[in-house]
Amino acid sequence: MLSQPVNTAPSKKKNQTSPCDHMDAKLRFSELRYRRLFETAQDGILILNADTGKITDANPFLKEILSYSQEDLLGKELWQIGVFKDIKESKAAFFELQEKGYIRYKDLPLQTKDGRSIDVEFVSNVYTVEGQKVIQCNIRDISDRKKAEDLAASKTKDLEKLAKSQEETKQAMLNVMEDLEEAKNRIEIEKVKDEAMFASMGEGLIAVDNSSKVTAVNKAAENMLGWKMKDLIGKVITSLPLEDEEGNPIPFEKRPANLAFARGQIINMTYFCVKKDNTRFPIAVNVTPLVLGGKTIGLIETFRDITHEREIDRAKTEFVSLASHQLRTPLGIAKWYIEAIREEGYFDKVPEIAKDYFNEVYKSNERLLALVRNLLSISRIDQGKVKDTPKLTNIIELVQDAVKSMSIVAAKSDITIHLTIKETIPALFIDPLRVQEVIENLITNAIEYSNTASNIEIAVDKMPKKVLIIVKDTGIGISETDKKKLFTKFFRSEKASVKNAEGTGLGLYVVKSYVEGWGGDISLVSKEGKGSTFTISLPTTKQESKFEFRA
Amino acid sequence: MDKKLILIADDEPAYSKILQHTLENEGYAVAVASNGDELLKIAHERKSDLIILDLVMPVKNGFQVLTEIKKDQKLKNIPVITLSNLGQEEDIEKARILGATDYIIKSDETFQDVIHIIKKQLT
Repeated sequence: MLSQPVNTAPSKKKNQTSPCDHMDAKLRFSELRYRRLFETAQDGILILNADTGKITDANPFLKEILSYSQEDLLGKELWQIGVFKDIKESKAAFFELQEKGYIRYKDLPLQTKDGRSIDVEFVSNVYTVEGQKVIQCNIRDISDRKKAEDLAASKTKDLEKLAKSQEETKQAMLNVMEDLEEAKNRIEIEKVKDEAMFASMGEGLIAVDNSSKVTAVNKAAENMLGWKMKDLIGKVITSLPLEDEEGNPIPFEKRPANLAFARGQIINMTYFCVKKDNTRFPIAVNVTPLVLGGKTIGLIETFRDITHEREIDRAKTEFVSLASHQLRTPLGIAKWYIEAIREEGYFDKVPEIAKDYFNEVYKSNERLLALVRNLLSISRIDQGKVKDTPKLTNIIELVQDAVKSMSIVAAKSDITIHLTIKETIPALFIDPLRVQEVIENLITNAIEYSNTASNIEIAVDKMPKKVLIIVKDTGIGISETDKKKLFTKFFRSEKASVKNAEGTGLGLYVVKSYVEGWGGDISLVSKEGKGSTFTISLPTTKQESKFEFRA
Repeated sequence: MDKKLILIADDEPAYSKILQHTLENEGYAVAVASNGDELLKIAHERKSDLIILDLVMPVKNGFQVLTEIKKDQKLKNIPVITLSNLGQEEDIEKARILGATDYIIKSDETFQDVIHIIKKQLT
């Protein structure tokens, strides 16, 4: 049963008499209309007693919103149905309402009886019905609207975020583009530099890819080879015509590009190169593999025409040969005459002091002759003219002879040479004159750099497949820095020069060149102030090992 | 018995002089020429037992002279010792092929050894 919005008003009107019937009818109509509105409104409506603040009526829609029944609501105060948080807040709102006659909360959270949270718009006003103050509260569920608003707000936020992140992405992209542009510029600069270097260098340069195909050729290479870049691009570099000194083509597997690919190493060699017009010229080639991540991705081949260098070299060598002959003629005369004076009986009539002077002249002359001899050897080594005349040779005899003749020189400085020879030594098929030169050079060195009254130990030994000649002195020794340069042309240790003005700086170079030419090697153990030991190792073949000599 | 005759050809008189003196003291007869043509002339005039021939000489060098001697029926059996400061293998080999009996590199041998080599050739 429906309750009346204002429970007193209608009943009072019922007691009215007939003159007022018309009015009454009107009133009834109005009330009915209000009632209808009250029952069907799509807002929740509450009627409260303004004095007590207690609920006197509620429309069906409100009950639907809040899931309360009529009984639940009647006589309750607002805070009890969850509109306000507590009595305090409810009272504050109630006083505000009484004072202003109107309050509106745009957004008020509300708990329904069945535990749902909803948002409501709360409008409340006070009016008087027949002297009685009544409060009407309109409660509108705005949850959906709010949800929509929240959704819209969150979407807006998302959009803002998206926009922001897009802005950031754009900035990042711009930065990357800027970096790329910079890198590109740097590469351009490097490229221009490389190209300029490539074009301006005096050496011929050919770049090839990993399949040996030519990818670039510089101007100098074009000029040297007589081929144009367009003739060469795409060609396989190993097909460029290289020959040896005699004009035999270099076989495929021995070409520098191939060796560089096969070994992954820098290759330096000299050849003859045949130009487009079939003329040939000597060429020094350097091939450098381009290695990226452990893989050879191509080669850079640089080369230069060494015609001029070789001409200079030849002229130098010819000069040395000629000069050494011309030098030897007067030196040989001096040698023979002094020897004749000393040995043919003339010396008996010469005073002691003059004998000493003669000996000094002789020593000096011998030194000069040794220097010329070494110069000649070197020029022949450099010319590749050294031709061995090997014979089956008894090394023991050679060393014994050398020791015998050198002992006389050594004795003058009170130096004793000891010789130790293994019982049997295999014969070597070798040029005896050159072995003699090697042995004498080593013994001469040992004597020169020994202190007076010391010993030199010489040994001839054998090991499987080799014969060893060991020369050991207890002289000044060789410093670590000198060791590296020891076997180079014209090297003389500063210490050696101080100790002794003799020596040509050529002896060890000659020794090393010969020994290596025979497939042997020379090694050195030395300590400064303690002396040096040179060991020459000469390989023997099966054939030679059949013959042995006894000490 | 007649002394053995040694012919020496050298354009460098100091070499010929010391050889001549020493060999004459050793009891040999010595004739000296200062170039190849002169040597050939003397060789045809006098019967000699040994020719000592320098290789580097003006007018006609030692190799040419040696070639002519070995072609000459009258001279080809006279032993020839070549004497030079050309110490290179190819020179020694060339002289050997042309028929030289021995080869002396002047500044590599002591004077005593040279005299010894010469005397050995005449015994």
